[in-house]
Amino acid sequence: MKQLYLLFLIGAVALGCGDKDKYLYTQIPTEVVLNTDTKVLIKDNSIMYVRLDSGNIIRGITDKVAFTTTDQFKSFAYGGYSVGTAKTPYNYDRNTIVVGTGTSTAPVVYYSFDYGSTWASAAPAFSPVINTSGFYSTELVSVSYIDSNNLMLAYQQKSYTTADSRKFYKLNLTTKVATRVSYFDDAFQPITIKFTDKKTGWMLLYKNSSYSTFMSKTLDTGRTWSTPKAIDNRYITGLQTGTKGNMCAIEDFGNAYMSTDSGVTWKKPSTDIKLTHAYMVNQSVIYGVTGESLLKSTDTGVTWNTVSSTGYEYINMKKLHFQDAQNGVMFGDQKLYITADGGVTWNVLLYPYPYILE
Amino acid sequence: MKTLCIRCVLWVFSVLFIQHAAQAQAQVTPPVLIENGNPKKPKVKKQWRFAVDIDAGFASPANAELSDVFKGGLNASVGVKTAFLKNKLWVRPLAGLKYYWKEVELGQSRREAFRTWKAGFELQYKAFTLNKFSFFPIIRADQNWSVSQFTKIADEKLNDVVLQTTDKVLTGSGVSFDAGIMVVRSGDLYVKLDYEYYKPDLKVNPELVREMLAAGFIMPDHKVYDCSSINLSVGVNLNFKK
Repeated sequence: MKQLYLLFLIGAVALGCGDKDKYLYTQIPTEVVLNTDTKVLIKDNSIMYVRLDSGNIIRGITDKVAFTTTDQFKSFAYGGYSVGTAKTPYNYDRNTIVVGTGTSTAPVVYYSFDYGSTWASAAPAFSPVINTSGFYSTELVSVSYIDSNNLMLAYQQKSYTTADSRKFYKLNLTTKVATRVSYFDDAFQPITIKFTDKKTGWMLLYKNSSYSTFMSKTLDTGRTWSTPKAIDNRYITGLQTGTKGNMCAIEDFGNAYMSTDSGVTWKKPSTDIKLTHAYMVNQSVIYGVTGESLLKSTDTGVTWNTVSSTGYEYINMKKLHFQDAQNGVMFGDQKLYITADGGVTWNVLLYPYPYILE
Repeated sequence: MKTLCIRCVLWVFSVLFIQHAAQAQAQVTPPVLIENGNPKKPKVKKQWRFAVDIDAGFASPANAELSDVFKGGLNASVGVKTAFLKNKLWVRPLAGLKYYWKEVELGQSRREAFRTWKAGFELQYKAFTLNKFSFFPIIRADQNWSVSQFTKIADEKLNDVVLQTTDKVLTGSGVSFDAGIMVVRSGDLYVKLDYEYYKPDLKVNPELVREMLAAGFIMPDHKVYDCSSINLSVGVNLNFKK
């Protein structure tokens, strides 16, 4: 019997023991949600732009690489790129990305016509040379795509004695010559320009004295511009142009404004909202993301309804892109989500999970 | 908890001792009828025999799936049994418990426990007797209700808690089958060694599935676990007659 008691004693000692790093639930085999190879896209990187095109092709750039996938990152192609320190915001127009680097008076313009995969640069020779005398600051504020051979450079010069000046140069990418096409000394500050064809373009302008953002239009590649039309007493920086005169102007962390008549009249939300970003799918559908939820408007931006508000990190989302009313992506820093049901549910495509960053 | 288990084992021995003492007090000589100066064989009447078996012991997981997590557990059962076939076959309806546990660090001190309540029948057949030992092959079938959960064992407030789910992590039920041998000494103390086959389909708490998904892992909502074990128990047999 003594041996039996000893056996039970040994058993009693074993009670309450086990591998401290293993749990019953960790015995369940799990699958990783994401392809671990996506580490190269997000580690020490920040997503700058992503678009979802037909055929479920996702293209985008981070601050170091450009990427493309057709199967939601089960496989993907990517390539590194390098541009100088950005002086202007990146300007995205379908497959084109342009950005100004260098200094304002001696800029180097980088441009890509294949979604950021390959880049070229141009150091323009200005005609006439930018005159900085009499101005306490000269700033290149925007570089915009006109067509595959021309870009538009918008300058703002500030003066103590006279009204602030804005100047527009058309850069020929073949000759590398930037020719001034127009200038105005009217204290309007250019914010961004979008061309819908090689002649027609729209420009957002801000005027300090009226604390308002305006819209101006050109039909001759920037030689003449229409009288600025006030949108609202806000500082509006985002501009999206659509078909049939549909336009959307987006305030930073604020409202989205919609025009269906090429910027002649504007509609705004019936109550102020704090949109991080908005995307106009068409005249009747606009999506907007706030820090708490995804919103949708189907009446040209007047009323907004919550599509979803829980389960996703809206607070970390910075931009939206929708291919149509159902399919779209939202992203911010190292996170990218995709939806196929108009934003009700989202699937994660890129995310800095610990096993991704390891 | 180790202390608790040792106490459980000691309880069994204590009960055995009490029963021994009671039996020693109650031993009487069987009555002999005398008729016309000749002893007469008493009339034999069928008597139902009943007994209560209480046992507790050690359960050792027989599969790496469970033994990687728990090295051993507590196994206990109690049941009333009655005899058939000239007291050779005993049928024992029973209730039991199997309990595995260990203390873990999941950002805070917790106890992981896997508890299975049992209800079933056991058949014991007295195969042969050697000296004062009787050998009973046994078979048993149980309906089981299992649950695995983490409980906080310290009131720590930490930000880096690895697992948020504190409710029942896994739940499920199923039938188990045992086969083994029971050695009874002098009709009171017994030792039982058996193998239990138990493969329940345990459902994962949906909250944990969501938590894992948020961490970037797809976890199935259920899994069949091999919870088979080898059990060694010591018990007492409390006999009484109707």
